[in-house]
Amino acid sequence: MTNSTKGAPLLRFEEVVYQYARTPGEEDLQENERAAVDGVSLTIEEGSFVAIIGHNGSGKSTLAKLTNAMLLPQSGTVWVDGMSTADPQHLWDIRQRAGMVFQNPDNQMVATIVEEDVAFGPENLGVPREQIRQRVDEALAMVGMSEFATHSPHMLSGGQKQRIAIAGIIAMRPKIIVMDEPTAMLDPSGRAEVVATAHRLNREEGMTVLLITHYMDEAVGADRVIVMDKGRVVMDGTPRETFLQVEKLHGLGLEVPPMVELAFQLREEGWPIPADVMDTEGMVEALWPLLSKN
Amino acid sequence: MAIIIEKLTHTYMPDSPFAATAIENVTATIQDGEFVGIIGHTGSGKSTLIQHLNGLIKPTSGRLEVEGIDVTAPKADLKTLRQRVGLVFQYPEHQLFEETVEKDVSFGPRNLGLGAEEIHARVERALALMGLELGEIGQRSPFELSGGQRRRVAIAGVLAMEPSVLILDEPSAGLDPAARRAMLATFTSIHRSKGCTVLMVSHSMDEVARVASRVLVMNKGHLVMDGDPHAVYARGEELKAMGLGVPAVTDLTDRLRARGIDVPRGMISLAEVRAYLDSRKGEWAQ
Repeated sequence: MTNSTKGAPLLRFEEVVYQYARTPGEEDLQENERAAVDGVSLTIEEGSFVAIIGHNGSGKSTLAKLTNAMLLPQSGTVWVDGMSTADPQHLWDIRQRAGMVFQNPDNQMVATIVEEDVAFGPENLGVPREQIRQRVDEALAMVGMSEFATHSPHMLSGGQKQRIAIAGIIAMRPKIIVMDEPTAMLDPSGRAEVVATAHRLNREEGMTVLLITHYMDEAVGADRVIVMDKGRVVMDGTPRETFLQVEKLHGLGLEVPPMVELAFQLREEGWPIPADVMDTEGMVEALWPLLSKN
Repeated sequence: MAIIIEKLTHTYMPDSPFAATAIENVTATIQDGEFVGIIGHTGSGKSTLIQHLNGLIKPTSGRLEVEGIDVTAPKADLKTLRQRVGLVFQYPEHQLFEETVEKDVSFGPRNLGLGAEEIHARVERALALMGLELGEIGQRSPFELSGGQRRRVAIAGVLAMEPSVLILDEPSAGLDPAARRAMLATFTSIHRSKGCTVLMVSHSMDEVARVASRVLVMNKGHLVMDGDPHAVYARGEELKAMGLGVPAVTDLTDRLRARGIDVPRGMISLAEVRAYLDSRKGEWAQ
């Protein structure tokens, strides 16, 4: 095991409330258009891969910003590795422990050379020069971008840029990476690259990952899926437990992955499709014996 | 009038060390009233292709005729062309700039020199097509609307020009699944009620399968497939080789076929797969 504290609470939300201030003329906005977090309590364990899903305005991005003190709770407490985000003394420790990757890769590039971009975080942390070199090389290797170290970021694809952004976070040696819809602006192959990178970091490096997404299929491989609606946690369980509740998810305006939907419809019709079918491979295994009988 | 694209080639920064050919020898004819999906990898040339259609960029070689206007002619009437061909960019909400929704949507028609009454009527119609009401949000600042509403306002600004060809560059990018579905439904209904030609660039195979009656596939600057979605998606192996993949249900039928099950080719929707499976239910269910 890469991490002796695996399973210990790393991130803890206690009755956290955050409401955006209303501006004049906004009173008539629908409630769900003003993202907020409304009394959320949850614990994320070290080494876990947790997906948070919800439609726009469900409060999931607000939740992300509360994890590293970009936003501070109006009531309740957010604990990161034992430190309260409301304690200004710990601000930089918290930012180093909980690294954020955002939606738009272009907004996250600060340097004109990939390796300089990745070095930006550790430089600001005051890491000695020779260690920075080592951290940057390691981080680029972890996201599979070593060969692009001396390239210019703007020549890379969206998926590659996001992997550079992830490397920049890894180089700060955080305990948790919070990814706020990192794939929303990417094409399908870029999406796959970024999700695979997140899983590899979790599996091979023991990195705790909080993946915020509105793509249900990205949540299939997580250890745990948290569903948010109107600022609250409405479902929390394994992907299998969560995706089995197809009707409830529909009620929340969420789409289940296509194979989960098909499995659900077929089960309703009496097909013996096991409950753990969540992807195409599982569906092939379930259908093949039924269809190949004759 | 059809869109006639003949051997269209575009090279960015020609005669320089940075010269890059984005599209090469693209030929296709799009008939009035078609709903065409354009898919391709990032960098495949799909955005370059559509930017030609309203004269935003000119080809390096080849010929292009849109709405009876020869776009490649030296003195092409680009003003008329841009009235007839509405181009909605990616993330169009970034282009909102006016103080109120009404002013923003009326910007185009005002530039056409139309009368106040006609402008008002057009703004109202365009917003209604996007599912918004002028009376309700017309005097609001676009910047206080939700992201999805802002995008709808921006698209209404293009619709207010009442174009006969509507080109959409990834109109659902960045929206959540519910908003994406609603956006697609909006375009389907505009297409049906207005009878305009719609070209939609998308990354999502499932999305294109749902709405388009014809699919163009771009790869490395070339138009490599052109046909009915069922026919295009039946070529799963080639699409996968281009890094594109196929709709999830098509992938399922491909994999079943690879395991020796005689599943017909060309299924692209959940309903089609359900119908097929229903037909075979009797074989195992006694």
